[in-house]
Amino acid sequence: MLIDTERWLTHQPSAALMGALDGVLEDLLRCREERLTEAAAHLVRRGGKRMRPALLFVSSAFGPGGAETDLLRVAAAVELLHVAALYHDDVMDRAETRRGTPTVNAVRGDAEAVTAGTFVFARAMRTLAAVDGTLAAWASRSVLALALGQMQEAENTYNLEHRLESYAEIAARKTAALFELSCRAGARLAGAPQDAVEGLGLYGRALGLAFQAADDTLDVTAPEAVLGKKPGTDLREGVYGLPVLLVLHRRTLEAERLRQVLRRDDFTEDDQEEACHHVQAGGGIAGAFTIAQDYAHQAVTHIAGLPGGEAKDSLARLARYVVTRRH
Amino acid sequence: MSQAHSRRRFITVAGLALGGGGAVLGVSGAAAQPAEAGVAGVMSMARQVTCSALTEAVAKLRTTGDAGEAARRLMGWYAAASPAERAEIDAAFDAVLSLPGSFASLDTHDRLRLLAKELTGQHESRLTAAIGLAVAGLSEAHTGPGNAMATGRLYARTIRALPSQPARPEQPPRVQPPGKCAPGRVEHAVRERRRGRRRGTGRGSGRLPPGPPRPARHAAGTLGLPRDKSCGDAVNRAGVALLREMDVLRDLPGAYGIGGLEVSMGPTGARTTRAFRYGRAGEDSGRYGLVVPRAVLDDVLVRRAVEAGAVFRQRVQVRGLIREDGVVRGVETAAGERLRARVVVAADGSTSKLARQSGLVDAAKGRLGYAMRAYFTGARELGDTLSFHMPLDNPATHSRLPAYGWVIPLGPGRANVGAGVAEKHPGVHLNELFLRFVAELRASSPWFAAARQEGPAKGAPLFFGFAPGRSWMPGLVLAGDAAGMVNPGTGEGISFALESGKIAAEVVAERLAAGQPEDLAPYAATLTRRFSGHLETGRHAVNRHRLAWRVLEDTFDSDRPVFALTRRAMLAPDHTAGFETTAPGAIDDIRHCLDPKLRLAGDLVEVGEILADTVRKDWPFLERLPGLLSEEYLMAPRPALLVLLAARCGATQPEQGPEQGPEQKPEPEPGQERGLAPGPGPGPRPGLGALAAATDLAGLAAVAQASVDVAPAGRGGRANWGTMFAVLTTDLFLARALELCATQDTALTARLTLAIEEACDGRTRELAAARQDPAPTAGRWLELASASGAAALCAAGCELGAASAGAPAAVVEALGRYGRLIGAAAQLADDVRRLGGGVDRLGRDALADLEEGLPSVPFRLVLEELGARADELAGLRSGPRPREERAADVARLAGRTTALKQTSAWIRELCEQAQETLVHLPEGPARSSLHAIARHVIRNTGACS
Repeated sequence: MLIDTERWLTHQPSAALMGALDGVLEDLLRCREERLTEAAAHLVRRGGKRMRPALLFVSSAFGPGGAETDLLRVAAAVELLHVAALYHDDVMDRAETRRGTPTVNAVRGDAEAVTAGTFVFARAMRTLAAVDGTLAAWASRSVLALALGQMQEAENTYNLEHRLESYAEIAARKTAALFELSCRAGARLAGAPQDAVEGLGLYGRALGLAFQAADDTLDVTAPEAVLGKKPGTDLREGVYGLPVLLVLHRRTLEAERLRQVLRRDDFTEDDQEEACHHVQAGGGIAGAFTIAQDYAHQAVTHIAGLPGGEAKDSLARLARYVVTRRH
Repeated sequence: MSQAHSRRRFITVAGLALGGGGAVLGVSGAAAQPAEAGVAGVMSMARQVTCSALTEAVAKLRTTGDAGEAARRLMGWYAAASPAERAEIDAAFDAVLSLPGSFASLDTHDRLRLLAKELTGQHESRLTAAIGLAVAGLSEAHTGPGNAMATGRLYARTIRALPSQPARPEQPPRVQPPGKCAPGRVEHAVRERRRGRRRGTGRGSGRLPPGPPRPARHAAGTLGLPRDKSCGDAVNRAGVALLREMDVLRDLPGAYGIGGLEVSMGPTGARTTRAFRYGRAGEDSGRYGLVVPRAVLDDVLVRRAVEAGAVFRQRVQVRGLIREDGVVRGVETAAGERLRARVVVAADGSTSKLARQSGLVDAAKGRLGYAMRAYFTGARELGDTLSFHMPLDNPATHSRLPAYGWVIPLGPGRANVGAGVAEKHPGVHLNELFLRFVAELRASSPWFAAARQEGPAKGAPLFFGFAPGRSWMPGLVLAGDAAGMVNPGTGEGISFALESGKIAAEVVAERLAAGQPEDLAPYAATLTRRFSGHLETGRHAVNRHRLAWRVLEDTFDSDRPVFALTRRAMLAPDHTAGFETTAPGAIDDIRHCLDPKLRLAGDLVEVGEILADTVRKDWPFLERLPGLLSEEYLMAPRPALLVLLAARCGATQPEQGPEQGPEQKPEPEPGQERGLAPGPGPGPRPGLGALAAATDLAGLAAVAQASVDVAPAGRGGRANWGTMFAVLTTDLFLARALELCATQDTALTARLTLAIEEACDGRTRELAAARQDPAPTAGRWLELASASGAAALCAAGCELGAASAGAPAAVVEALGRYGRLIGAAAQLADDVRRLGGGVDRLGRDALADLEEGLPSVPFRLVLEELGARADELAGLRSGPRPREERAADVARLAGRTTALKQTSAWIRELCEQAQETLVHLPEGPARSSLHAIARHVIRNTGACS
């Protein structure tokens, strides 16, 4: 999902830190083997939403303040945890492009791409350990959640009976864990009071769930130009997002039709289109947005007790922004 | 004992499902004792019972990894023993209990051996281990519960005291040495019982309780339970072990021994076959699997139960449960008779009436599959191999089903042939599936073409709804098929049924002894621990299973490490407890290299427990990955072992020997990294096990990562399960490794991540080198390999261990070099094993080398030297000829080159260099053990000059 930082981030100190992030990321990825440095830096050089670092910076506004270098290093490390996961995702999905450029796996093969991802992951963890042991421990748990979420998602490929509870668990592990980590880490580094750390953590978690729910609609609704692939590709590959599951769980004609299409052994492009149509007609998209908005609302509630200002406003704006329907 | 026989303690209801006439077994408290194990000689009965219970507890510990649970079970058993038995056991254990010092600091292995000697007259390893556990259990009773890890360590120390070649479990009867106590009366009773059984009367003990309302029938030949059950008839290794434990194997002389399993996978007509051999046939023939018609097996089991004191009633229709205040109090027969019991064991099959009546199983929701089989004669060349064929197609749509076909040899020319489907599919009829499978066999297997079907095919439902939490309620436990304990991949259920029966007996006996028969929760807990990974549990089970099969199918032709391991974990029906392991690659045992003074085994057990815990909850079938590894790697130069050894080097203060000049005296390290201060006092720090496990997991991650294809990325498509799986496992192992480390020690996290980075760096250079023109020299490849994979992680293991113990920088560095060299040497040794015609530690043969885009260094030598003739190799990668033949051809071609000789020379050189680094280490048992490992690697690969 395209998230434009300028649309939500009005907290100036955070915006300033964002400007310094690229250099830190580049520095962090240096290693002896030039080829590995290049592979590892391939994706971060293409920019990206950098939502996690931005969340970290904004969250740091709720404490007396931490050392800028630490904030930058930790924010970069958290972003790298995300990037490492993207490298591995792209290998698993055989993705050919990301952020408008060929993926590392497309250019150099799966083995190098996986290795680069693992390197990025290790470097991120080492950076965290160097700054703050507690953060490293938190991050290790988030990363574990991420790995388990990926696995659970893989297990449920082509699962027409996938339960919504399980879906929510996957989203919490796969997406929300790193959002939560970003918020907590920023608050901790800035020396924020414990209840602020908790509140921001819960905000991050709910925001992650909202983001994932909204993001799930794109596969069905976004045009090919935006997606970089035909709508419904996830459906063809057996990855059933929230809108699909919502329809499947209803006892409607659309649900039955969708089920029938998805069961076809030789799933054609026409089938793909038909399935997308059933998801739309069955109310899947509208339902997913309702859920996303509910999570977004929860997110804002979690930070209600925090002192007001640009930081808080930015977070509230972000929560509304991620659940805005665009297609 | 007479008290125990005065009333029925619990009853087992079996065989209702098939309508052939139900059976009720009333079992006395005494019969509920664990069955005799293989340590029987002419020991007293109490000693035999002791031995078997202890052996049992140890086996349990070994499979569940839960020492505390094992100890509790042991104590439960002890509490239930008769006063006479207790006196005897007490007397024996007094020898241990009276040892000076507290249990926590007990250094007992030699004394335990003496005790074992007293009990058995010789060094019987299983018993020695068992007694160790007994001591641990008693220790726990003395010090209070909850200290499972200490108990496990104690147990492990005992295991470490075992001879390096474990004694065979079955020893010929031997003369009993003068013991502390030996009541001849009990011995006599045992002999009488045995003789009685050999005569087949089952009346030997003369102690059959009066089973109300009329005496039980137990004469031979009139038992009603055995019936022609539709079943594969195959008892796997685990099942055979249980039958041996029940001492009924000799009553199955007609059983056909199985030596291996063959799996044919792929679309019908184009399946590829892989064979898994369990070991040599010979005097142990049948040890790895047996085929015996259920009618025969069931009969033998019923006789054994009756002999052990059960009251057997046949052709009884059970109408339902008797329930009072929510507690099951017995069963009511169709004739209106009320059979009361403190516990009912529902063993009435996949459509269990009792399970449904109890509300534990919801028939509407349970997942039912179906299987159908028939007997065939006139099949030629059957051999001793079970074969599975999967998946079968949906006859209507030709799409693949979660279905399989099997051929199970029953003897020369005779086979049980069947088909099963794991879940209902609209429009799929089992009968058609079965007929199509038989037709497929006739068309594809010449030896089956003329086979004739004997009698009609018989079908039976399979219930896969295993849910341990719903396996009991007050007064009732479900066992076997009734509890849904069937392997969804193969339909196998006999071993699960036998074992769940045994667990039920033990739990019920213990609960009765504790006076709490209504709380049978330990049954659920034990089932969970025992069968996670073997049976699908939980609500994600079906999906997990589907993913596993997708991966299996997608990678069936691949020998990349993680796929080879997964395949064995999933297909080799090997979930056996006990001490015999037949891992094909288990030839790298370096136990003899390790100085006993190091007491490593406790930590190794801890590492194993952590590894198992790592994946148990999340992806149960992976539990067997580290499990497999630890069986084979337990005593191999793997990262965890090196962590432990290096920590012991670091813990010893150097002695200034003549070879060690003052300039080499290690300096105290000036806070090189935060948090590296040694733990309190000398010796390994707490948390060392976690660190070692983390390093092993990082090594496993590297293994998984190396399974991702080197070739350029494929273009989008569906069948990417193998790569996906390799990446998922890489991430899981990495994440767990870092979590273990990061929640323990920040500085060590930094070191481990640095090691992972370096391994990635090395791997990238290897991958880049593969594209270089001209290609790098063999020497360069060797250099590259030493900075990647196993070598990198072994180096890291050594450094981490030494650093964690606060070793000086020079020692840390020297150990790091040692680890790198020995890791590289061990890797080469593995490669040589494969190319020399054997299998490596992952169970792979020489064909694995053909598949790798980044071949092993020795294989590069082979390719180089063969030159143009290397084309011959390419043709061997696939083809109609059996795998073993093609692998042998690769080995033969490799043998014509000097590659193996050259590699052996390298191994020798690397090991010698490794030994040279040890000069920087303080003298002591750790250093001498590291020396011994290097010598062992040289010797074991024929690298001696």
